[in-house]
Amino acid sequence: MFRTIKNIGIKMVGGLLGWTESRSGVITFVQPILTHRVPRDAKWWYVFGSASLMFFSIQVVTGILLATMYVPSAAEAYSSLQYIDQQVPFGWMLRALHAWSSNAMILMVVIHMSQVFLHASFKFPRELMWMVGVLLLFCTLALAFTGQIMRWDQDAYWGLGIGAAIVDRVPMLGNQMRNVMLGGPYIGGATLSRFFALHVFVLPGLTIGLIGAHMALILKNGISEMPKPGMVVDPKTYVAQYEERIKKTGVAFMPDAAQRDMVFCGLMLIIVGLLAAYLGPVGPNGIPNPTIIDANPRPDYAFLWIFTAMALMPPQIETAVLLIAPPIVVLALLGLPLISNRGERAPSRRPGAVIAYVLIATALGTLTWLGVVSAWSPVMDAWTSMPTPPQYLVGRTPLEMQGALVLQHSQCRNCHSLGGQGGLRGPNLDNVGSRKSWDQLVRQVQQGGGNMPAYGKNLSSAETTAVVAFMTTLRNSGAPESNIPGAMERQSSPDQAPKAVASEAGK
Amino acid sequence: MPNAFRNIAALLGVIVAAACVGACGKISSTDPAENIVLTTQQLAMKNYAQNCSACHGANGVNGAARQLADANYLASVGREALINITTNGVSGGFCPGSGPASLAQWDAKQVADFVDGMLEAWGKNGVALSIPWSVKLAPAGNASNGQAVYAATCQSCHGAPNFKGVTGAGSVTDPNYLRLITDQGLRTAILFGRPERGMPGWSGPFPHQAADRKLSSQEISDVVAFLRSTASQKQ
Repeated sequence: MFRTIKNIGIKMVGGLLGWTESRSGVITFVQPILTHRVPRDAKWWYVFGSASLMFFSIQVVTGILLATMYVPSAAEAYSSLQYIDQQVPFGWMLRALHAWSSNAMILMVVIHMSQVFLHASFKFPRELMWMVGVLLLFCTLALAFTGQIMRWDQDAYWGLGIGAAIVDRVPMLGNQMRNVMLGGPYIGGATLSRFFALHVFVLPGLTIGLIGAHMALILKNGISEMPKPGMVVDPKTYVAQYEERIKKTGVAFMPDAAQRDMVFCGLMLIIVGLLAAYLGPVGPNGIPNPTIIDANPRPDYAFLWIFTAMALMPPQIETAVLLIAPPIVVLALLGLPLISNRGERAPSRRPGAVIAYVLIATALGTLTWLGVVSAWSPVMDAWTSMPTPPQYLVGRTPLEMQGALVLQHSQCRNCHSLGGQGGLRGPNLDNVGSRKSWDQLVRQVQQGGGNMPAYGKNLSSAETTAVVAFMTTLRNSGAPESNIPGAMERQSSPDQAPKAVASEAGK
Repeated sequence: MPNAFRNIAALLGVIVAAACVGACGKISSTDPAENIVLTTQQLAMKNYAQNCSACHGANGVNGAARQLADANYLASVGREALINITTNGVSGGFCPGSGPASLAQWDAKQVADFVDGMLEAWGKNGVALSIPWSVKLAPAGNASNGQAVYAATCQSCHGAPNFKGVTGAGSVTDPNYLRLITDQGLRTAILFGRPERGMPGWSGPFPHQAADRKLSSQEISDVVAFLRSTASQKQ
């Protein structure tokens, strides 16, 4: 009985496949793709491209689902995101997956590209694959940037504002280009529609086309072998030699190489799934209202290094760098395989390339980390939300306690940290009492200096006295007071010191 | 080939299981999308941490400013005055308030919810003191009586009226200190003390005094008047 059913089943499936094949030729088309031979040594280094493709597929699926609920209008985008997060069952998970898978896709693309660069896989005959890959990198970043705009929150608003300001600096055409980008001179409803069209139609279409080209080129040229020192690429002989080696030692893509891809993709999927489930969707942050001045907009991770570079760059060179650097980067990336398409592939024989890679990676990593910390930017809510460390209040006099209040109330901590909490713009105040004397502290508070504004006009003499009295109590515990050059004995008020009494009397 | 399929099937199983674990973990923990509705008390504590904890201390204790996690203090001040302070801040003091005119821009309902949440968290079983908290309801003070009360109950920690140093609990007749604190601030400090810093309130016990020595409303007013008089003498 069971056997008959099974036989009928096999016959039906076989018949269906045969029917489809005879009319479309799909199996004849797909089979060589699945079984094309790849180098035997192409192991775990080669999984990152597949992982990028998988995350792109996830983006397409989750993106289509999100597009069924997202309202791309300036008035309703923000609330439609809140609706997806809060009302739609597992809507928050959908948004979280889309966001985390986007981060993962960028990461995979960058690792894939690093591997190709370090192994010099872009050399003959794979120059065009690298160039298409570079275009795919730009598409990925453009998708990430336009996707960030879809959140239509403060980050999106200010991100657009900065993008528009950059475009505006192009000589002659700047204003027109900005109008095209924003759909008018200002950020408004037309802007969101434009970026929605880019994010949902133009860029994904372009990406799919480029992925197709990238894959066709893989089938045409084969994937590169692991580089071996001494195995030199010579355009005259390479193709024949490669074909011969692959015929001798190559393995079929399916299942040998594909298995490894699937294991890695599965692992990545689990990690992204867990990140999405535990950390949730990204944004939307505050509502996009330019009149809210205590906004603290930050770009997404992929663009933090640009944010840092812009923040730390001297203003005089900004325009020059903005207009000159991007074309150079684009040309250098695209032109790389044309400049160097033969010779050694092994990293050990290409020290220049390795050093260049390490330098670029270190620079981007450092700029990104600085962007996360953004020490140049004050922590705007430190003065109300970060308690004065309790140990700094033990045994203090009433005046010093008032000084602690002045320190919070005058927002000193937005730039100066206490107990590891607060801004990083100015030096921390944990042991300021051992660094500066009473008079130096009064001078610094009243006149500012070294990037610090003067508070002389904002603080009464009593407030200054109190905050200085409090700060003189902040010392390295254990450092004997008499050993600190320039530091004065802890005192409650200047009218204890003869000098200060004289100046009070003088007023 | 069947091996490959088995591996793939196993992998899919692991992925689905992990996704389920993640999703379930999500539902039972705090939701990043904040679609869990906070209780009045939770919301008040969140707003407290964001807007008040810098001066009043984490969890309402051990800050530079008055301890708010004090049921008797909250009961004595009363809901109405707490709403007023939360809205407008302390006039002449550092507390900026969170009302419509402030940076936080809370409306009347948000302020009331905050105060109710705070009373729920810290004000349970609080007993209002028989002595009025507000200086507006306090009797007028007499500075020379105040000097005697000061000498008896304050001086052993805070020093003689002309002492300006930092030993003991530190001077309270320092003119700079007196310029930064209001009469209400002084009255509150004497009435409730700073329990977390070892300063007794109106009911003592005061060093070198009988254990049942307590201050009256009049005596507190007198001490405040006396402290003020030391500052005006100075200037």
